[in-house]
Amino acid sequence: MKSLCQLPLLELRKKLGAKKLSPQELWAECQKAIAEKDGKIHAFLTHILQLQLPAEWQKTELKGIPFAVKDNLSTANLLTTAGSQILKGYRPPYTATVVERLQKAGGVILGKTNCDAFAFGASGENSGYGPTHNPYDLSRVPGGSSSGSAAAVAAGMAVFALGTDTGGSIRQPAAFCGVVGLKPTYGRCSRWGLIAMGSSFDVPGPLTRTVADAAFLLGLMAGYDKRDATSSQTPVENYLAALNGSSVRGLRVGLVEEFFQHGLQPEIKKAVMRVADVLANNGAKLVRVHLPHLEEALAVYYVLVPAEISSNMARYDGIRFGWQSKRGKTAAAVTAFSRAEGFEMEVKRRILTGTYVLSAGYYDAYYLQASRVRTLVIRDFQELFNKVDVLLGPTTPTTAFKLGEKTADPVAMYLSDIFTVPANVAGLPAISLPFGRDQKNLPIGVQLIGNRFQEGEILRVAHFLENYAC
Amino acid sequence: MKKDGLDIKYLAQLAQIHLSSQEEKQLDKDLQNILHFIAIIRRVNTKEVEPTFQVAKDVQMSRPDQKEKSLPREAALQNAPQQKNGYFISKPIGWK
Repeated sequence: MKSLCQLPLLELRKKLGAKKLSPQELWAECQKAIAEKDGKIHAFLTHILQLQLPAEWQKTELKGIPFAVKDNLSTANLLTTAGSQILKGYRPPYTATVVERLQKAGGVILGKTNCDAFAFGASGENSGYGPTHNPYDLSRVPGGSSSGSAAAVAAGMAVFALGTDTGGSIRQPAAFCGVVGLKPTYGRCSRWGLIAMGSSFDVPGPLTRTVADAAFLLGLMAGYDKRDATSSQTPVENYLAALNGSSVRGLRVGLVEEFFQHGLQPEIKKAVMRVADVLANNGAKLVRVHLPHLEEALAVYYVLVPAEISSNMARYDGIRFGWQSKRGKTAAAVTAFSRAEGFEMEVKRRILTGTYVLSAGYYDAYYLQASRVRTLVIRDFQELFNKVDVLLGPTTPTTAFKLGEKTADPVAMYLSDIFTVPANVAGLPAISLPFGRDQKNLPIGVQLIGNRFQEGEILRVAHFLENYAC
Repeated sequence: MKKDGLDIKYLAQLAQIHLSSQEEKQLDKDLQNILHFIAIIRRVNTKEVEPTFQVAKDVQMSRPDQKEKSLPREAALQNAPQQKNGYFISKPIGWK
Protein backbone atom coordinates (compact mmCIF):
# COMPACT_ATOMS: atom_id res chain seq x y z
CA MET A 1 0.00 0.00 0.00
CA LYS A 2 1.16 3.49 -0.79
CA SER A 3 2.10 5.69 2.12
CA LEU A 4 0.17 8.93 2.45
CA CYS A 5 2.94 11.15 1.16
CA GLN A 6 3.14 9.07 -2.01
CA LEU A 7 -0.33 10.25 -2.98
CA PRO A 8 -0.83 13.18 -5.35
CA LEU A 9 -1.17 16.60 -3.76
CA LEU A 10 -4.68 17.12 -5.13
CA GLU A 11 -5.89 13.83 -3.65
CA LEU A 12 -4.44 14.74 -0.24
CA ARG A 13 -5.99 18.18 -0.48
CA LYS A 14 -9.38 16.58 -1.02
CA LYS A 15 -8.91 14.24 1.96
CA LEU A 16 -7.81 17.13 4.16
CA GLY A 17 -10.75 19.25 3.01
CA ALA A 18 -13.17 16.41 3.77
CA LYS A 19 -11.52 15.86 7.18
CA LYS A 20 -10.63 12.29 6.24
CA LEU A 21 -7.04 13.14 7.04
CA SER A 22 -5.39 15.62 9.37
CA PRO A 23 -2.29 17.68 8.51
CA GLN A 24 -0.68 16.18 11.63
CA GLU A 25 -1.08 12.65 10.28
CA LEU A 26 0.35 13.65 6.91
CA TRP A 27 3.27 15.45 8.54
CA ALA A 28 3.99 12.37 10.68
CA GLU A 29 3.98 10.16 7.56
CA CYS A 30 6.54 12.41 5.86
CA GLN A 31 8.70 12.38 9.01
CA LYS A 32 8.52 8.61 9.10
CA ALA A 33 9.54 8.32 5.45
CA ILE A 34 12.46 10.71 6.00
CA ALA A 35 13.63 8.80 9.07
CA GLU A 36 13.47 5.52 7.14
CA LYS A 37 14.95 6.59 3.83
CA ASP A 38 16.96 9.77 3.96
CA GLY A 39 19.97 8.26 5.67
CA LYS A 40 20.70 6.53 2.37
CA ILE A 41 19.28 9.06 -0.11
CA HIS A 42 20.49 12.31 1.49
CA ALA A 43 17.83 14.50 -0.11
CA PHE A 44 17.58 16.93 2.80
CA LEU A 45 20.20 19.36 4.07
CA THR A 46 17.87 20.83 6.69
CA HIS A 47 14.87 18.97 7.98
CA ILE A 48 12.19 20.45 10.21
CA LEU A 49 10.77 18.24 12.92
CA GLN A 50 7.97 20.31 14.43
CA LEU A 51 4.87 21.05 12.41
CA GLN A 52 3.79 24.68 12.60
CA LEU A 53 0.38 24.78 11.03
CA PRO A 54 -0.85 28.07 9.64
CA ALA A 55 -3.85 29.56 11.39
CA GLU A 56 -7.12 28.62 9.73
CA TRP A 57 -5.37 26.09 7.51
CA GLN A 58 -8.75 24.60 6.63
CA LYS A 59 -9.55 27.71 4.60
CA THR A 60 -6.28 27.67 2.64
CA GLU A 61 -5.57 26.14 -0.76
CA LEU A 62 -2.81 23.81 0.44
CA LYS A 63 -4.39 22.89 3.79
CA GLY A 64 -1.13 22.36 5.65
CA ILE A 65 0.46 20.06 3.05
CA PRO A 66 4.22 19.73 3.66
CA PHE A 67 6.66 20.53 0.86
CA ALA A 68 10.40 20.52 0.34
CA VAL A 69 12.33 23.55 -0.89
CA LYS A 70 15.57 23.49 -2.87
CA ASP A 71 18.29 25.03 -0.76
CA ASN A 72 19.02 27.86 -3.21
CA LEU A 73 15.63 29.41 -2.44
CA SER A 74 15.83 31.79 0.51
CA THR A 75 13.75 30.98 3.58
CA ALA A 76 13.69 33.55 6.37
CA ASN A 77 15.79 32.50 9.36
CA LEU A 78 15.95 28.93 8.07
CA LEU A 79 19.36 27.62 6.97
CA THR A 80 19.90 28.28 3.26
CA THR A 81 23.24 27.12 1.90
CA ALA A 82 22.54 26.74 -1.83
CA GLY A 83 24.50 23.50 -1.45
CA SER A 84 27.75 25.43 -0.96
CA GLN A 85 30.12 25.48 1.98
CA ILE A 86 30.55 29.23 1.53
CA LEU A 87 26.99 29.69 2.84
CA LYS A 88 27.28 27.20 5.70
CA GLY A 89 25.19 28.54 8.56
CA TYR A 90 23.61 31.31 6.48
CA ARG A 91 20.09 32.32 7.55
CA PRO A 92 18.45 34.71 5.09
CA PRO A 93 16.57 37.68 6.48
CA TYR A 94 13.76 37.16 3.94
CA THR A 95 11.83 34.46 2.07
CA ALA A 96 11.76 33.93 -1.69
CA THR A 97 8.50 35.11 -3.28
CA VAL A 98 7.53 31.68 -4.64
CA VAL A 99 8.04 30.05 -1.24
CA GLU A 100 6.17 32.84 0.51
CA ARG A 101 3.24 32.46 -1.88
CA LEU A 102 2.99 28.75 -1.13
CA GLN A 103 3.21 29.41 2.60
CA LYS A 104 0.45 32.00 2.34
CA ALA A 105 -1.56 29.36 0.48
CA GLY A 106 -1.23 27.07 3.49
CA GLY A 107 1.81 25.00 2.54
CA VAL A 108 4.30 24.06 5.27
CA ILE A 109 8.04 23.77 4.69
CA LEU A 110 9.29 20.30 5.56
CA GLY A 111 12.94 21.00 4.87
CA LYS A 112 15.57 22.29 2.47
CA THR A 113 16.89 19.98 -0.18
CA ASN A 114 20.38 19.16 -1.37
CA CYS A 115 21.58 20.53 -4.70
CA ASP A 116 24.74 21.09 -6.69
CA ALA A 117 26.51 24.09 -5.14
CA PHE A 118 24.68 27.22 -6.32
CA ALA A 119 22.79 24.91 -8.72
CA PHE A 120 25.87 24.41 -10.91
CA GLY A 121 25.62 20.83 -12.06
CA ALA A 122 23.60 18.00 -13.55
CA SER A 123 24.19 15.22 -11.04
CA GLY A 124 24.10 16.62 -7.51
CA GLU A 125 27.75 15.67 -7.08
CA ASN A 126 28.86 19.31 -6.91
CA SER A 127 27.07 19.76 -3.58
CA GLY A 128 29.38 20.91 -0.82
CA TYR A 129 27.55 18.55 1.55
CA GLY A 130 27.90 15.23 -0.27
CA PRO A 131 25.76 13.89 -3.10
CA THR A 132 22.12 12.81 -3.11
CA HIS A 133 21.45 9.25 -4.27
CA ASN A 134 18.82 8.18 -6.76
CA PRO A 135 15.95 6.41 -4.93
CA TYR A 136 15.63 3.93 -7.84
CA ASP A 137 19.28 2.87 -7.60
CA LEU A 138 21.42 4.25 -4.81
CA SER A 139 24.61 3.84 -6.87
CA ARG A 140 23.27 6.35 -9.39
CA VAL A 141 22.84 10.12 -9.43
CA PRO A 142 19.37 11.65 -9.03
CA GLY A 143 20.27 14.29 -11.62
CA GLY A 144 20.74 17.91 -10.80
CA SER A 145 20.85 20.46 -9.77
CA SER A 146 17.46 20.07 -7.99
CA SER A 147 18.70 16.66 -6.80
CA GLY A 148 17.20 16.50 -3.33
CA SER A 149 13.87 17.94 -4.48
CA ALA A 150 13.44 15.25 -7.14
CA ALA A 151 14.66 12.46 -4.85
CA ALA A 152 12.43 13.59 -1.96
CA VAL A 153 9.30 13.45 -4.11
CA ALA A 154 10.32 10.19 -5.81
CA ALA A 155 11.01 8.48 -2.49
CA GLY A 156 7.72 9.65 -0.98
CA MET A 157 9.41 11.84 1.63
CA ALA A 158 7.66 15.01 0.44
CA VAL A 159 4.34 15.52 -1.32
CA PHE A 160 5.92 18.02 -3.70
CA ALA A 161 9.06 20.11 -3.91
CA LEU A 162 10.32 23.35 -5.37
CA GLY A 163 13.29 23.47 -7.66
CA THR A 164 14.97 25.97 -9.94
CA ASP A 165 15.84 25.52 -13.60
CA THR A 166 18.64 27.44 -15.32
CA GLY A 167 19.57 24.80 -17.92
CA GLY A 168 17.46 21.78 -16.98
CA SER A 169 17.84 21.65 -13.21
CA ILE A 170 14.16 20.84 -12.64
CA ARG A 171 13.47 18.67 -15.70
CA GLN A 172 16.63 16.55 -15.73
CA PRO A 173 16.40 15.34 -12.10
CA ALA A 174 12.64 14.89 -12.57
CA ALA A 175 13.42 12.58 -15.52
CA PHE A 176 16.10 10.66 -13.60
CA CYS A 177 13.81 10.19 -10.58
CA GLY A 178 10.53 9.47 -12.39
CA VAL A 179 8.59 12.55 -11.30
CA VAL A 180 6.99 15.51 -13.10
CA GLY A 181 9.16 18.63 -13.41
CA LEU A 182 7.85 21.94 -14.75
CA LYS A 183 10.09 24.78 -15.88
CA PRO A 184 7.87 27.81 -16.40
CA THR A 185 8.47 30.59 -18.94
CA TYR A 186 11.26 32.95 -17.88
CA GLY A 187 9.49 35.73 -15.97
CA ARG A 188 6.39 33.65 -15.14
CA CYS A 189 7.53 33.01 -11.53
CA SER A 190 9.41 35.61 -9.51
CA ARG A 191 13.14 35.10 -8.98
CA TRP A 192 13.17 37.25 -5.86
CA GLY A 193 14.96 35.32 -3.13
CA LEU A 194 16.32 32.74 -5.57
CA ILE A 195 20.07 32.75 -5.02
CA ALA A 196 21.20 34.01 -8.42
CA MET A 197 23.03 31.77 -10.88
CA GLY A 198 22.34 32.92 -14.45
CA SER A 199 19.92 35.79 -13.94
CA SER A 200 18.66 35.86 -17.52
CA PHE A 201 17.98 32.08 -17.38
CA ASP A 202 16.92 31.18 -13.80
CA VAL A 203 13.33 30.24 -13.04
CA PRO A 204 11.73 28.45 -10.07
CA GLY A 205 9.16 25.69 -10.60
CA PRO A 206 7.52 22.63 -9.03
CA LEU A 207 8.49 18.93 -8.94
CA THR A 208 5.41 16.79 -8.39
CA ARG A 209 3.90 13.35 -8.64
CA THR A 210 1.31 14.34 -11.27
CA VAL A 211 0.82 16.93 -14.01
CA ALA A 212 -2.35 18.20 -12.34
CA ASP A 213 -0.36 18.86 -9.15
CA ALA A 214 2.15 20.91 -11.16
CA ALA A 215 -0.67 22.85 -12.84
CA PHE A 216 -2.26 23.59 -9.48
CA LEU A 217 1.02 24.75 -7.93
CA LEU A 218 1.99 26.93 -10.89
CA GLY A 219 -1.29 28.79 -10.41
CA LEU A 220 -0.27 29.54 -6.81
CA MET A 221 3.35 30.45 -7.59
CA ALA A 222 3.10 32.46 -10.81
CA GLY A 223 2.46 36.14 -11.30
CA TYR A 224 3.99 39.56 -11.19
CA ASP A 225 6.22 40.52 -8.29
CA LYS A 226 7.33 44.10 -8.02
CA ARG A 227 10.57 42.92 -6.39
CA ASP A 228 11.64 41.17 -9.61
CA ALA A 229 11.80 43.57 -12.55
CA THR A 230 11.85 40.64 -14.97
CA SER A 231 8.68 39.05 -13.62
CA SER A 232 5.86 39.27 -16.13
CA GLN A 233 2.52 41.04 -15.86
CA THR A 234 0.94 38.51 -18.23
CA PRO A 235 -2.22 37.30 -16.43
CA VAL A 236 -1.98 33.96 -14.62
CA GLU A 237 -4.32 31.36 -16.11
CA ASN A 238 -6.30 28.76 -14.24
CA TYR A 239 -3.93 26.00 -15.29
CA LEU A 240 -5.80 23.31 -13.42
CA ALA A 241 -9.16 24.08 -15.01
CA ALA A 242 -7.48 24.03 -18.43
CA LEU A 243 -6.68 20.34 -17.94
CA ASN A 244 -10.33 19.31 -17.96
CA GLY A 245 -11.40 17.41 -21.01
CA SER A 246 -7.90 17.37 -22.45
CA SER A 247 -7.96 16.37 -26.09
CA VAL A 248 -5.10 16.45 -28.54
CA ARG A 249 -7.20 16.36 -31.70
CA GLY A 250 -5.75 18.78 -34.21
CA LEU A 251 -2.73 19.53 -32.04
CA ARG A 252 0.43 20.14 -34.10
CA VAL A 253 3.36 18.36 -32.45
CA GLY A 254 6.90 19.09 -33.60
CA LEU A 255 9.49 16.32 -33.50
CA VAL A 256 12.91 17.94 -33.55
CA GLU A 257 15.15 15.84 -35.82
CA GLU A 258 18.31 16.96 -34.04
CA PHE A 259 17.00 15.57 -30.73
CA PHE A 260 17.41 12.06 -32.10
CA GLN A 261 21.03 12.39 -33.15
CA HIS A 262 22.94 13.07 -29.97
CA GLY A 263 23.86 9.69 -28.54
CA LEU A 264 20.28 9.17 -27.46
CA GLN A 265 19.76 5.95 -25.46
CA PRO A 266 17.62 3.65 -27.66
CA GLU A 267 15.01 3.04 -24.95
CA ILE A 268 14.51 6.79 -24.54
CA LYS A 269 14.09 7.19 -28.28
CA LYS A 270 11.52 4.41 -28.17
CA ALA A 271 9.63 6.11 -25.34
CA VAL A 272 9.50 9.40 -27.26
CA MET A 273 8.25 7.60 -30.37
CA ARG A 274 5.65 5.83 -28.27
CA VAL A 275 4.43 9.22 -27.05
CA ALA A 276 4.35 10.43 -30.66
CA ASP A 277 2.23 7.40 -31.60
CA VAL A 278 -0.20 8.01 -28.75
CA LEU A 279 -0.62 11.61 -29.86
CA ALA A 280 -1.00 10.69 -33.53
CA ASN A 281 -3.52 7.94 -32.72
CA ASN A 282 -5.59 10.50 -30.88
CA GLY A 283 -5.78 12.97 -33.71
CA ALA A 284 -2.63 15.06 -33.27
CA LYS A 285 -0.59 15.93 -36.33
CA LEU A 286 3.13 15.09 -36.15
CA VAL A 287 5.47 17.48 -37.91
CA ARG A 288 9.19 16.81 -38.39
CA VAL A 289 11.07 20.02 -37.64
CA HIS A 290 14.63 21.26 -37.21
CA LEU A 291 16.48 23.13 -34.51
CA PRO A 292 19.53 24.06 -36.59
CA HIS A 293 21.50 25.59 -33.70
CA LEU A 294 21.05 22.85 -31.09
CA GLU A 295 24.76 22.26 -30.41
CA GLU A 296 25.44 25.97 -30.53
CA ALA A 297 22.62 26.56 -28.03
CA LEU A 298 24.49 24.42 -25.52
CA ALA A 299 27.70 26.33 -26.18
CA VAL A 300 25.82 29.65 -25.87
CA TYR A 301 24.60 28.48 -22.49
CA TYR A 302 28.10 27.58 -21.32
CA VAL A 303 29.35 31.04 -22.29
CA LEU A 304 26.53 33.24 -21.04
CA VAL A 305 25.67 31.39 -17.82
CA PRO A 306 29.27 31.35 -16.52
CA ALA A 307 29.49 35.04 -17.45
CA GLU A 308 26.40 35.80 -15.39
CA ILE A 309 27.68 33.50 -12.64
CA SER A 310 31.03 35.24 -12.40
CA SER A 311 29.22 38.52 -11.93
CA ASN A 312 26.61 37.13 -9.50
CA MET A 313 29.21 35.35 -7.37
CA ALA A 314 31.15 38.57 -6.78
CA ARG A 315 28.89 39.18 -3.76
CA TYR A 316 30.60 36.42 -1.74
CA ASP A 317 33.32 38.53 -0.22
CA GLY A 318 33.78 36.81 3.14
CA ILE A 319 32.92 40.04 4.93
CA ARG A 320 29.18 40.73 4.79
CA PHE A 321 27.92 37.15 5.01
CA GLY A 322 29.09 33.63 4.34
CA TRP A 323 32.36 31.91 5.15
CA GLN A 324 35.28 34.07 6.28
CA SER A 325 38.84 32.78 6.02
CA LYS A 326 41.23 33.11 8.93
CA ARG A 327 43.96 33.95 6.41
CA GLY A 328 44.74 37.30 4.76
CA LYS A 329 45.90 40.64 6.13
CA THR A 330 43.83 42.88 3.86
CA ALA A 331 40.14 42.87 2.93
CA ALA A 332 40.98 41.71 -0.62
CA ALA A 333 43.16 38.87 0.65
CA VAL A 334 40.46 37.77 3.10
CA THR A 335 38.02 37.72 0.19
CA ALA A 336 40.36 35.70 -2.05
CA PHE A 337 41.06 33.15 0.72
CA SER A 338 37.38 32.95 1.78
CA ARG A 339 36.36 32.25 -1.82
CA ALA A 340 39.19 29.71 -2.13
CA GLU A 341 38.04 27.83 0.96
CA GLY A 342 34.27 28.24 0.56
CA PHE A 343 33.67 27.62 -3.14
CA GLU A 344 33.47 24.10 -4.54
CA MET A 345 35.59 23.17 -7.58
CA GLU A 346 32.74 23.54 -10.09
CA VAL A 347 31.94 26.99 -8.70
CA LYS A 348 35.55 28.04 -9.26
CA ARG A 349 35.51 26.49 -12.73
CA ARG A 350 32.43 28.45 -13.77
CA ILE A 351 33.56 31.72 -12.25
CA LEU A 352 36.88 31.47 -14.09
CA THR A 353 35.19 30.53 -17.38
CA GLY A 354 32.86 33.50 -16.97
CA THR A 355 35.73 35.79 -16.08
CA TYR A 356 37.54 34.67 -19.22
CA VAL A 357 34.63 35.24 -21.62
CA LEU A 358 33.97 38.67 -20.14
CA SER A 359 37.59 39.82 -20.05
CA ALA A 360 38.95 42.46 -22.41
CA GLY A 361 40.06 40.88 -25.66
CA TYR A 362 37.65 37.92 -25.42
CA TYR A 363 34.37 39.69 -24.69
CA ASP A 364 33.50 40.19 -28.38
CA ALA A 365 34.56 36.73 -29.48
CA TYR A 366 32.73 34.88 -26.71
CA TYR A 367 30.21 36.87 -24.67
CA LEU A 368 28.92 39.14 -27.42
CA GLN A 369 29.03 36.40 -30.06
CA ALA A 370 27.11 34.05 -27.74
CA SER A 371 24.51 36.77 -27.13
CA ARG A 372 24.07 37.08 -30.90
CA VAL A 373 23.78 33.31 -31.37
CA ARG A 374 21.20 33.38 -28.58
CA THR A 375 19.10 35.64 -30.83
CA LEU A 376 19.37 33.02 -33.61
CA VAL A 377 18.25 30.24 -31.25
CA ILE A 378 15.24 32.35 -30.24
CA ARG A 379 14.45 32.93 -33.93
CA ASP A 380 14.68 29.19 -34.62
CA PHE A 381 12.06 28.57 -31.96
CA GLN A 382 9.84 31.41 -33.19
CA GLU A 383 9.81 29.85 -36.63
CA LEU A 384 9.03 26.44 -35.17
CA PHE A 385 6.10 27.78 -33.21
CA ASN A 386 4.62 29.17 -36.41
CA LYS A 387 4.34 25.58 -37.58
CA VAL A 388 3.60 23.64 -34.39
CA ASP A 389 1.88 24.06 -31.01
CA VAL A 390 4.30 22.05 -28.88
CA LEU A 391 7.65 20.36 -29.35
CA LEU A 392 8.17 16.80 -28.22
CA GLY A 393 11.52 15.23 -27.38
CA PRO A 394 13.55 13.44 -24.74
CA THR A 395 14.47 15.23 -21.50
CA THR A 396 17.90 13.60 -21.28
CA PRO A 397 20.21 11.61 -23.61
CA THR A 398 20.46 8.76 -21.06
CA THR A 399 18.74 7.57 -17.92
CA ALA A 400 20.42 8.17 -14.53
CA PHE A 401 24.17 7.56 -14.70
CA LYS A 402 26.44 6.19 -11.98
CA LEU A 403 27.84 8.41 -9.24
CA GLY A 404 31.38 9.35 -10.22
CA GLU A 405 30.86 8.42 -13.88
CA LYS A 406 31.22 11.95 -15.25
CA THR A 407 32.93 13.91 -12.49
CA ALA A 408 36.37 13.78 -14.11
CA ASP A 409 35.14 15.30 -17.36
CA PRO A 410 33.23 18.58 -16.96
CA VAL A 411 32.42 18.79 -20.68
CA ALA A 412 30.85 15.29 -20.67
CA MET A 413 28.73 16.45 -17.72
CA TYR A 414 27.74 19.63 -19.62
CA LEU A 415 26.62 17.56 -22.62
CA SER A 416 23.98 15.82 -20.52
CA ASP A 417 22.08 19.16 -20.61
CA ILE A 418 21.77 19.26 -24.39
CA PHE A 419 18.00 18.70 -24.63
CA THR A 420 17.02 20.88 -21.70
CA VAL A 421 19.23 23.95 -22.25
CA PRO A 422 17.56 25.28 -25.46
CA ALA A 423 14.31 26.12 -23.61
CA ASN A 424 16.31 28.22 -21.13
CA VAL A 425 18.30 29.98 -23.84
CA ALA A 426 14.97 31.08 -25.36
CA GLY A 427 13.09 31.50 -22.04
CA LEU A 428 10.40 28.95 -23.00
CA PRO A 429 8.24 26.77 -20.72
CA ALA A 430 8.94 23.03 -20.72
CA ILE A 431 7.86 19.98 -18.77
CA SER A 432 9.41 16.58 -18.14
CA LEU A 433 6.97 13.74 -17.76
CA PRO A 434 7.92 10.21 -16.62
CA PHE A 435 7.17 7.78 -19.42
CA GLY A 436 8.19 4.19 -18.80
CA ARG A 437 11.46 2.65 -17.65
CA ASP A 438 14.59 1.37 -19.35
CA GLN A 439 15.96 -2.20 -19.11
CA LYS A 440 17.59 -1.40 -15.79
CA ASN A 441 14.19 -0.28 -14.51
CA LEU A 442 15.34 3.36 -14.40
CA PRO A 443 12.76 6.06 -15.16
CA ILE A 444 12.66 7.72 -18.60
CA GLY A 445 11.55 11.34 -19.01
CA VAL A 446 9.97 12.83 -22.10
CA GLN A 447 9.88 16.56 -22.62
CA LEU A 448 7.32 18.96 -24.03
CA ILE A 449 8.40 22.50 -24.88
CA GLY A 450 5.85 25.26 -25.46
CA ASN A 451 5.85 28.78 -26.76
CA ARG A 452 6.30 31.65 -24.29
CA PHE A 453 3.57 31.68 -21.61
CA GLN A 454 1.96 28.55 -23.09
CA GLU A 455 2.29 26.58 -19.85
CA GLY A 456 -1.43 25.77 -20.16
CA GLU A 457 -0.79 24.01 -23.46
CA ILE A 458 2.14 21.82 -22.38
CA LEU A 459 0.39 20.95 -19.13
CA ARG A 460 -2.73 19.95 -21.02
CA VAL A 461 -0.81 17.66 -23.39
CA ALA A 462 1.27 16.20 -20.55
CA HIS A 463 -1.90 15.54 -18.55
CA PHE A 464 -3.39 13.73 -21.54
CA LEU A 465 -0.26 11.60 -21.93
CA GLU A 466 -0.06 10.70 -18.26
CA ASN A 467 -2.78 8.07 -18.70
CA TYR A 468 -0.59 6.23 -21.20
CA ALA A 469 2.61 6.47 -19.21
CA CYS A 470 3.09 3.00 -17.80
CA MET B 1 50.05 32.74 -21.68
CA LYS B 2 48.99 29.99 -24.01
CA LYS B 3 46.81 29.50 -27.02
CA ASP B 4 43.60 31.54 -26.56
CA GLY B 5 45.41 33.69 -24.00
CA LEU B 6 44.32 31.44 -21.16
CA ASP B 7 46.18 32.57 -18.07
CA ILE B 8 44.71 30.93 -14.99
CA LYS B 9 46.72 32.98 -12.50
CA TYR B 10 45.48 36.23 -14.05
CA LEU B 11 41.85 35.00 -14.20
CA ALA B 12 42.02 33.91 -10.56
CA GLN B 13 43.30 37.34 -9.64
CA LEU B 14 40.46 39.03 -11.55
CA ALA B 15 37.95 36.69 -9.92
CA GLN B 16 39.48 37.17 -6.46
CA ILE B 17 39.98 33.48 -5.76
CA HIS B 18 43.22 32.20 -4.28
CA LEU B 19 44.08 28.93 -6.08
CA SER B 20 46.49 26.22 -4.95
CA SER B 21 49.02 25.13 -7.58
CA GLN B 22 47.18 21.83 -7.90
CA GLU B 23 43.90 23.64 -8.55
CA GLU B 24 45.62 25.89 -11.08
CA LYS B 25 46.82 22.85 -12.97
CA GLN B 26 43.41 21.17 -12.88
CA LEU B 27 41.47 24.30 -13.84
CA ASP B 28 43.89 25.09 -16.63
CA LYS B 29 43.19 21.69 -18.15
CA ASP B 30 39.41 21.97 -17.58
CA LEU B 31 39.21 25.46 -19.07
CA GLN B 32 41.17 24.37 -22.14
CA ASN B 33 38.52 21.69 -22.70
CA ILE B 34 35.64 24.05 -22.01
CA LEU B 35 37.04 26.70 -24.38
CA HIS B 36 37.49 24.07 -27.05
CA PHE B 37 33.84 23.10 -26.58
CA ILE B 38 32.36 26.62 -26.55
CA ALA B 39 34.46 27.68 -29.56
CA ILE B 40 31.76 26.20 -31.82
CA ILE B 41 29.79 29.43 -31.47
CA ARG B 42 32.55 31.18 -33.36
CA ARG B 43 31.65 29.35 -36.56
CA VAL B 44 28.16 30.89 -36.66
CA ASN B 45 27.66 33.84 -38.97
CA THR B 46 26.12 36.57 -36.83
CA LYS B 47 26.62 39.51 -39.14
CA GLU B 48 23.71 41.92 -38.63
CA VAL B 49 22.28 39.83 -35.76
CA GLU B 50 21.46 41.85 -32.65
CA PRO B 51 22.59 40.34 -29.33
CA THR B 52 20.00 39.19 -26.77
CA PHE B 53 20.80 40.14 -23.19
CA GLN B 54 17.37 39.49 -21.76
CA VAL B 55 14.61 37.23 -23.13
CA ALA B 56 11.84 38.92 -21.18
CA LYS B 57 11.43 41.79 -23.63
CA ASP B 58 7.82 42.34 -22.63
CA VAL B 59 8.59 42.92 -18.96
CA GLN B 60 11.53 44.90 -17.56
CA MET B 61 9.10 47.48 -16.21
CA SER B 62 10.55 50.08 -13.90
CA ARG B 63 8.51 50.46 -10.76
CA PRO B 64 7.54 53.92 -9.56
CA ASP B 65 10.43 55.66 -7.83
CA GLN B 66 8.96 55.57 -4.35
CA LYS B 67 10.69 55.39 -1.02
CA GLU B 68 10.29 51.96 0.57
CA LYS B 69 11.46 50.34 3.74
CA SER B 70 14.87 48.74 3.36
CA LEU B 71 16.18 45.70 5.22
CA PRO B 72 16.60 46.62 8.89
CA ARG B 73 20.25 47.04 9.91
CA GLU B 74 20.15 44.10 12.33
CA ALA B 75 18.82 41.82 9.58
CA ALA B 76 21.50 42.97 7.15
CA LEU B 77 24.15 42.24 9.77
CA GLN B 78 22.77 38.96 11.10
CA ASN B 79 25.05 36.83 8.90
CA ALA B 80 28.21 38.94 9.15
CA PRO B 81 31.22 36.92 10.33
CA GLN B 82 32.32 39.94 12.38
CA GLN B 83 30.43 43.07 13.32
CA LYS B 84 30.62 45.90 15.82
CA ASN B 85 28.36 48.85 16.66
CA GLY B 86 26.11 48.11 13.69
CA TYR B 87 28.94 47.89 11.16
CA PHE B 88 30.72 45.09 9.32
CA ILE B 89 34.30 44.53 10.44
CA SER B 90 36.84 44.13 7.69
CA LYS B 91 40.62 43.97 7.44
CA PRO B 92 42.28 47.11 6.00
CA ILE B 93 41.40 47.85 2.39
CA GLY B 94 44.32 47.12 0.08
CA TRP B 95 45.67 44.44 -2.16
CA LYS B 96 47.67 41.40 -0.98
